[in-house]
Amino acid sequence: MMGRYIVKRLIYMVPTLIGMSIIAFLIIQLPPGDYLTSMIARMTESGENVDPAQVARLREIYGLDDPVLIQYWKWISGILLRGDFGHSFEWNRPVSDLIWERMGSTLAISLASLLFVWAVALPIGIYSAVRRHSFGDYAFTFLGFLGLAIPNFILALTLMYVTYRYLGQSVGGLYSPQYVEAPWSWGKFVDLLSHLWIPIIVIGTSGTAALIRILRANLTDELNKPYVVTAKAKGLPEYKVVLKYPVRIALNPFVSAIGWVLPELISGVTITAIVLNLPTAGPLLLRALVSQDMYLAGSFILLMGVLTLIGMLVSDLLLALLDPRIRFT
Amino acid sequence: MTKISRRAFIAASSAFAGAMVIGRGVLAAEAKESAYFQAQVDSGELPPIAERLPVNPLVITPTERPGQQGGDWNHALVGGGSLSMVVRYQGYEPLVRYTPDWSGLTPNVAESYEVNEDGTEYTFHLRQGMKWSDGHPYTTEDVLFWYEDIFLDQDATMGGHTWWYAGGEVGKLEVIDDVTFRVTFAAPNGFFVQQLAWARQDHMVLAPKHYLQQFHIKYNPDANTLAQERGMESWIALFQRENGLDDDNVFFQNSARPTLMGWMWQSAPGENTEQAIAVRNPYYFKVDTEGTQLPYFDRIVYQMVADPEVLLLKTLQGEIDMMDQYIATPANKPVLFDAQETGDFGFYTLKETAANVMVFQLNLNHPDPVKNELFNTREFRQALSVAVDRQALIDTVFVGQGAPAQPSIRPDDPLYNERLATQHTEYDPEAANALLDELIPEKDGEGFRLDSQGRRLALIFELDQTRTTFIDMMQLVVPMFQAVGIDAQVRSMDRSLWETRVRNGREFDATCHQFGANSGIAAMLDARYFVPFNGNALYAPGWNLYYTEPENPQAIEPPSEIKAQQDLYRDLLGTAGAEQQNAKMAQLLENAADQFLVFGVSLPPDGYGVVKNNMVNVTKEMPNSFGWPTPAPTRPEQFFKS
Repeated sequence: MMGRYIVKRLIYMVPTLIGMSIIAFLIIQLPPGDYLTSMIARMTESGENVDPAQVARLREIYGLDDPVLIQYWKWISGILLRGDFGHSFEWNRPVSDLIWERMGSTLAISLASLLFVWAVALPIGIYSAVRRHSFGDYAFTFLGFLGLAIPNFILALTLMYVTYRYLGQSVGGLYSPQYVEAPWSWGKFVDLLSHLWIPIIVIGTSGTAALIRILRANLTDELNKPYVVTAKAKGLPEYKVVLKYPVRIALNPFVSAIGWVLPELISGVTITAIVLNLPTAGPLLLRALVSQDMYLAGSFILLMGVLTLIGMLVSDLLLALLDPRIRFT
Repeated sequence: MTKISRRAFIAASSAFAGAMVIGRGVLAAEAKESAYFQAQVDSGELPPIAERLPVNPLVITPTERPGQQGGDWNHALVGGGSLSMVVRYQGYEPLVRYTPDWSGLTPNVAESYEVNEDGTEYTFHLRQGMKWSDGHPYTTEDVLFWYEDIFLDQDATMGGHTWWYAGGEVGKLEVIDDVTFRVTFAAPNGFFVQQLAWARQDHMVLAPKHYLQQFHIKYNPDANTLAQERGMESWIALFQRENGLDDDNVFFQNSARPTLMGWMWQSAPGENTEQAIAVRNPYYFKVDTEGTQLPYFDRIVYQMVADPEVLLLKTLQGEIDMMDQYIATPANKPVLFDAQETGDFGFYTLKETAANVMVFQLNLNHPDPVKNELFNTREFRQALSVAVDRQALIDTVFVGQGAPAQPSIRPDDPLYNERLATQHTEYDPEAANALLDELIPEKDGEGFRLDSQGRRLALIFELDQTRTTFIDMMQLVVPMFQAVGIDAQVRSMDRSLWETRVRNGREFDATCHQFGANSGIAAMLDARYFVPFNGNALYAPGWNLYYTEPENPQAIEPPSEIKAQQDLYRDLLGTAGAEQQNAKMAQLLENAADQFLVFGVSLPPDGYGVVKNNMVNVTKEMPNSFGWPTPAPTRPEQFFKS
């Protein structure tokens, strides 16, 4: 039953992916100009002169004069037939290398902040729902809204300034300069931790607030249901009543959101990552889009599409596991 | 200050024989081995210092005092963006280079050169025994490889290099022996050496034959297979990727290609997206006056930063040794000033070299005949110019720094033309109205002037939105134009759209830009606001094309006085000898003042850079330019930390 369901879902993904790759590529090609236009802009920016004849020649060599369909075919056939995602114009390296290189730190930061969000949001959400309209509820609500309202990048800049001013620590990035190339050691690990708390807090604050509110609302609905009242009447301890049934149901939105969590891992925290100078995938994607480095940008978008589809599938499966009322069809 | 650089200039340029004597004397006796390479020399991986240096190394007289080898020069690059910044720190080693004060030229990779009387024949002498960073000799063979197999090779060439052409023909390069070659032109080519000294126009010292030939079909019949293995369609694309001569990003991302520069990549930008490191080149051809091989710094370490604000914080914290780009803005100066002590840095002055802070450019080749005629009327441009209250712009946008001026030459330069610099800068809306009443007297109900067809005369300035100072200024300028009945509007747009519509388009009314040059050699080489001759003269796309390709159907034949100006400029470029060059340039500027094609706001105020207090030999005042790639001509190889 479940096996067939998964196979069916996987087959459905194929046309979706094809459509996605075409749209991704077309959207990248939509803005006027191409990689060379942005290169010229960059060079004239620094006062350099660019000869139009040279540019025409480069365009010919890079194949930027070909019709969009041919360019698309070159790209997609490389991926399908040889697993080759193409060459990044700007970095002069294979796209796949560039993406993989950034994946480790991207995953580490995203997972760490996801865990931070859950670790903070779950207990607070439950507390707020159970002790509604108490002083604690209002206090957390206030903090939560504050976290939601302050733009991430402002918070990032402020925290960076604070660390620069009062802690005297190297700002931005994940390591101090002397540790970037150093092999792993205790010192490097401590250095990493002393840098990592800023992005985790910055990325975490807004997510926490949203989750607390969702959990609080869902749980409030559940807590008034007759089965909870019955369980309480039968003398089950309060914490057991709450944790065993209503919380499980209130968790549904957490799980169904996993579909969005995976692509968020790549692009969700771009602005924060740029401000904090984190070596994650977000800034690389943004840079690729700005400089119209089309193969890099296209591959990123395609990868995010794949991750969204996988995330959706995983969250559907988990939801079915968590809530027996949901069936595979 | 000037005294020392002057002495350095004379020592280096006037007497190569003298330099040779000092060089030999110092060298043979006591050239010292670098601690950095000692182990490699001991194990036999590297030959000893005396065998690595050329017979006649270039002796550099340090700006303040000789130093010792060692240490890191800490830098940063913003974004995956432009690696042309690297040229400024380690990438400027042309045959002949500009002097630290940009007053002239001094030999560099070439030991000396001679020019004949009329500027048609240039003879260059390379250094005997000079080597690439992998130890392979650098000879005229490499020069010839660039000339024949890259520049003139039908497949490998990227075109361009206009300074190699005179009298409609490309210069002929002829190898005389291992270290001597001659370039002969069909007609005088007065600025050839100056052009070769311009940043990134020094391809003859960038193409190691022994490395690049493996990618060239002429030397390696399997080059196409090699390219396909690397995922490229043909050897041409691979060869371009490997030499990177025409794209800084490609050039500086290849750590495998040998170089003549002071530092070579250990990990190139892009190979590592967080940090790039360049280490000392064991074969670098320069020594100081005490016989220590340069550069002093063992390594240059570039942190890759995604955002200028992060760079600012890093600078405040003292992590950056020297920085005059990205963050050296008027707005950041107070912050940097306050942090001088905690960050342990000081300031140096950058002499701005742009012709103006912002140049208003009406499209003189507008496809609409009515607008075209109006824009080409000098009185119309004059009216707009006097309608601008420049002092208000300077006070608001540049915190009062600067004085009203048109795009022109700096007052302290011998070429200064007062009329060109100051005409029509007086704020006088009444005069503007009077002039406009002559040309387009009709107005509509809202007080806006109508053109000869009865349409409201809209003047739309299309701006690149990343140029925030332009947008700030235009916010103040629009009401000034409206006050004289011109319906001026501003459209700021994404850069790529701006590039398409303005730089490569013809349909725009007007735009604003900057750059150009405000002194001496630079103004002669980049005369964009005095004569329309290349794509940087945004105000006349059709006339620009006419200058280079009069036969092109897109080209527009300019009126006779502009044509005469273009001819004069062509003549100037062919002239050898500083005196005649200056005379012709003066005439060109005089004509530009008559024609008054564009107008501006103010000469740019001086900029600044920050440098750590322990850095020695950094010049306290230098031009800010790309052709003179700040601060490279002040010789970073002799910077060190005390």
